[in-house]
Amino acid sequence: MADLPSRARAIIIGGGIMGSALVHHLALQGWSDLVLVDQGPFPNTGGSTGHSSAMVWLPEASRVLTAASVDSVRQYKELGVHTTVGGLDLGRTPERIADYRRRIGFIRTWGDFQAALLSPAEIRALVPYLDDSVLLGGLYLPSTGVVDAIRAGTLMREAATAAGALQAFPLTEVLGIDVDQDRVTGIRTDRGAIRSDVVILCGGVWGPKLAAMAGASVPFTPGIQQLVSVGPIAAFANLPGEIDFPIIRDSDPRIYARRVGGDMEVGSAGHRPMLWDADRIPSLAEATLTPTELPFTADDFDASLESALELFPSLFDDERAGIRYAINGLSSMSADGLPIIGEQPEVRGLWSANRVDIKMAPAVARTLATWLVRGMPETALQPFDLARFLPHERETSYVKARATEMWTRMYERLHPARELSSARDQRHSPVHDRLVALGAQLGEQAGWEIPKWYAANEPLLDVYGSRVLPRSHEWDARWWSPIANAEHLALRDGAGIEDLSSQAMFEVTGPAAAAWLDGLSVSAIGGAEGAAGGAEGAAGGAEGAAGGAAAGPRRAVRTWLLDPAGGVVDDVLVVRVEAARLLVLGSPASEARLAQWLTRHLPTDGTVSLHNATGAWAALGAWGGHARELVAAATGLDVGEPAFPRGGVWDAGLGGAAVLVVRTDRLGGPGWELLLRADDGVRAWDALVAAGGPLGGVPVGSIATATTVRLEAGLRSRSLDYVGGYGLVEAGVAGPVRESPFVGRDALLAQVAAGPAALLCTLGVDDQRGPDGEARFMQGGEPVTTRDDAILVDARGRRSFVTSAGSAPTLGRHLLTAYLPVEHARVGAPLAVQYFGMPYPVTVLAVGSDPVVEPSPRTRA
Amino acid sequence: MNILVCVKRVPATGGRVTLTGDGLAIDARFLSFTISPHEECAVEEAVRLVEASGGGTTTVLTLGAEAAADQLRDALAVGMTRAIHLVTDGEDWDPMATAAAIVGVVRADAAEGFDHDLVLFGNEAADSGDYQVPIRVAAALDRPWLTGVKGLDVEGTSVRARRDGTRGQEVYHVPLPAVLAVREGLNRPRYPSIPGRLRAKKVAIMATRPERQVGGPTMIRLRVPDEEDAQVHVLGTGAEAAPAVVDLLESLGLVNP
Repeated sequence: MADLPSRARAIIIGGGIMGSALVHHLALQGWSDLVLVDQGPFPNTGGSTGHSSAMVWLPEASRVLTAASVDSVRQYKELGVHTTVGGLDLGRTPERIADYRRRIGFIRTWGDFQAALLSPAEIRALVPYLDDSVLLGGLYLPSTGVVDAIRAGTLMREAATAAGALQAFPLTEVLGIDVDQDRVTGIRTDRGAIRSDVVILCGGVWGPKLAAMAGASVPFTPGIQQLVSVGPIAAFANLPGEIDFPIIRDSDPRIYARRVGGDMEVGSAGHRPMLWDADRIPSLAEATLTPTELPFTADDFDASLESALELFPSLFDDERAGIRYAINGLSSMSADGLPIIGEQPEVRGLWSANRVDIKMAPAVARTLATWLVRGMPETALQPFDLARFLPHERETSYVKARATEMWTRMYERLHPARELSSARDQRHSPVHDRLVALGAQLGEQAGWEIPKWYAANEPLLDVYGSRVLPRSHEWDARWWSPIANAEHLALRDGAGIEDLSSQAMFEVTGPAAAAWLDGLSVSAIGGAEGAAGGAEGAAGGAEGAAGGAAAGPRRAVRTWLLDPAGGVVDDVLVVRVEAARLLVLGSPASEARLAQWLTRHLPTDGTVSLHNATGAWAALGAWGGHARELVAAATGLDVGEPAFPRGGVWDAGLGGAAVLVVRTDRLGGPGWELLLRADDGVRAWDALVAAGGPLGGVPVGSIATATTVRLEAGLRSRSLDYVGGYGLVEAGVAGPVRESPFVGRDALLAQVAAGPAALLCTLGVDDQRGPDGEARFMQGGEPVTTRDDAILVDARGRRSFVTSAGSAPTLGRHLLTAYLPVEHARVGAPLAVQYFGMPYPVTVLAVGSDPVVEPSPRTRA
Repeated sequence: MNILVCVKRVPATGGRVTLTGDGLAIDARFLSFTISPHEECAVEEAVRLVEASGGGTTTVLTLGAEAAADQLRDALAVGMTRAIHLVTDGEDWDPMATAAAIVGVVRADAAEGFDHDLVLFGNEAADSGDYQVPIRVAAALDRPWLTGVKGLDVEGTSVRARRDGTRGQEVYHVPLPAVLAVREGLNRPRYPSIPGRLRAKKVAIMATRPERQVGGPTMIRLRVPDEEDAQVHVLGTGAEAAPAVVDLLESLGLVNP
């Protein structure tokens, strides 16, 4: 074999499908002097790629996974390694069949995919070997196929080698990764050392071990998925090719089956979870087969065998069809089930691409190569970014607990409001005990336990009766309560007190702090001292006429951070506390992304300091009809106009604690946020609640604030509304673009000049009665169509789907938001939404960020 | 006819065998467990013979730790109908003690009406390779025995057995009841079917803890023989290598010229 070169432009460790696809794309994008090493032989290096069933379902379980699979399938087809055979998702229960109807709705919003619900007879016509008597039906996805992944990897490596860009070295073991002052400098192998300042780990289950060589870590764990091959199958004796009928997935016993030549391969996700440790992986010499084909534990698979026999009696009830291959297959499992891609925060120049399965690898490789070569990630990679993990999410115990739970929940009917139950109570608000004492029903965001509603508010149900829009269908009522709607109404009539302590909070200090933030922000941050209010392009309207004078430089501005392409990074509140001290506040789920974004743009000359203060402050919100009186009573401040306009910031005392009072109007009507030290949180909460008593103030949870009140006010959801490449113009929140430079300004100007192809609108459901007369409540993701069931598509080919959904108790209706093609974006337009396969008439109530419910005159004060 | 097959749970080794630190056992951390290929043929032969004879029982027996029940299940899954587990604490018993325990089973079965016409063994255990147990059992039971069996036909009350000798194939007539030690190549063992595996789960294994007879040879330690460096000859690459591959297969007698 040739000698290792002494240096390389980039070293890729791992020659499975991920590493092979990556070198191919790096070469295509112009890099050369690439070196790929693997401890194993080619073409099957002994990693997870080698034993995989290599199925690519199309469409996949979500929009982003489907997009990646589409790209990968296109690449596999170009290589000639893809066989389309179709896939059948079987249904044994009415709930599962209903769920397929729901999925068909989502699929309609992702593209022009074929998907059909089949009867047992139709299934049997496609797959005569199935015993359809155990089935109620199934979902047929004809574009599904299988891939020869080993061959694909070989072709991709050969292409890069033939182009002179790559040298690949199998049977070469990495012994160490060299790091100097937090930068990678090369690797050491059993055949010599190679210098490079770019090292990319594509080592599959060996990922944690490789990262550790460089003093880095990647939060995933190896885990087992069992697989057997049964044959010879008598019925396959004279069939052509490797596979000629659809792949089968049986979601209730959690098994799948596909033909491989004369055998039937059966895999299971239904056995007990079996995580693995990287130091228990045998070497190639020690392994009986390969290091990722571990000894089979037959007892664990017996239930799956029974299910397989039940499905395919004609194939498997045959003494001559033997279980002639059986493994506990090893692959990578992450806490959220998604790939993990990016530059390691511990070591510059060290990248990793982990937990990337065959259906994703070519797409991920193309995107990652673009990121490496051009330095800017496409937004498509964001859900997979290594930077998404918070510190607690990198702990091994967390990864194992979540990977275990995700394993047991594989193939479950995925509810949009689903909460996981493992690894909870990672982060508590300073007032957590108060919330629990009030019967808070907690949901998790970014590890925080956040109230969705309070059981202590149950008496409000008697006050509001049927105005709380009760839900009778069990799916619609999951992780929801009519108490949330009662809180909404109580907030409007009295006041709502919200604990906001879980919000992401960053302190920015230094002489250039304000100017720096101003350069990242759509709205002016008041970098110029004494700047008057007026037209600054802030959210939805004027900042408050008398803003400047009374508040001095202290003000709060609602703004957006954009990337250079005009995509929305986040929607934040910037509070200027002092001339050289500002706070950036985002939602709890934004913390990791904000931390990465702000850090990445930080100047290196020391004029700006950034500190992640999340959790160091407590924060309380006061909203609703009597919020002004509540804040005045609690703090002694005169919080009425004109003394305290929107955006104002004041110091005050609350229950003996020093607080910063900020008028943010975040929920539409006048609203105040009180920021204070975490240790003072409890006394401030108690004081606010006490002051609220006589005014009808109640604690309110996140369903009331982040969903229902927000929807009625025509306000955008930070997490749900800026998806899919829609920008500020189409979200209906772009005002005039200010003259001063900021990141994304050119792109925003271009968006303004081009005009919207779609606009985010609020729709009301006209008639919620489903097939049996029961009122149904859409959850989000559903397709929006004409009354004739034609999916709405805008001029840029984007299909309309519900971005968020919730009750409007003030109106007595269910509300949805969706980006509608401009020709349909008008108040009164009659449309429909499809939910579980049924159409429901809807009407456009508001276009852009117009509210559906105007704040009442008294609350405007 | 009734046939008893004796099997031993051994690690299924990969390319390289590693021993535990004290040299007394194979380091089985990454290994699965199985029975030797000779024993797989013994199991297969028993199932076939009883199927062909139209009646009788096949019994699989093992002496070993609790986990050795897996090997009994595997044998049941390919068609054995009865299973006996002589449970030990996992330590390897020497051939004398092992043989004594097995003889105990044969006599106990006989007392209950199960006369085993044939007791089959693999030629040697895959791990310790003592070559002794079948002969000790035969001697204790005063039955004719033969080792190295690669062909077997039942002819009434005797068995016609073939094996490879130094000057060619040897053929023996062995009157029943007899003890035979068979070699891999005797037959092609079947894989368990799915129904076979599911049936095997339901069979009640008869388990006892026998007394260990003392006085036999004691193992001092295991030693891994020096590895021979494997010779690798690259025949060629791609389609151009095809003629060389065909020549090789012909020379190995796998393909007719």
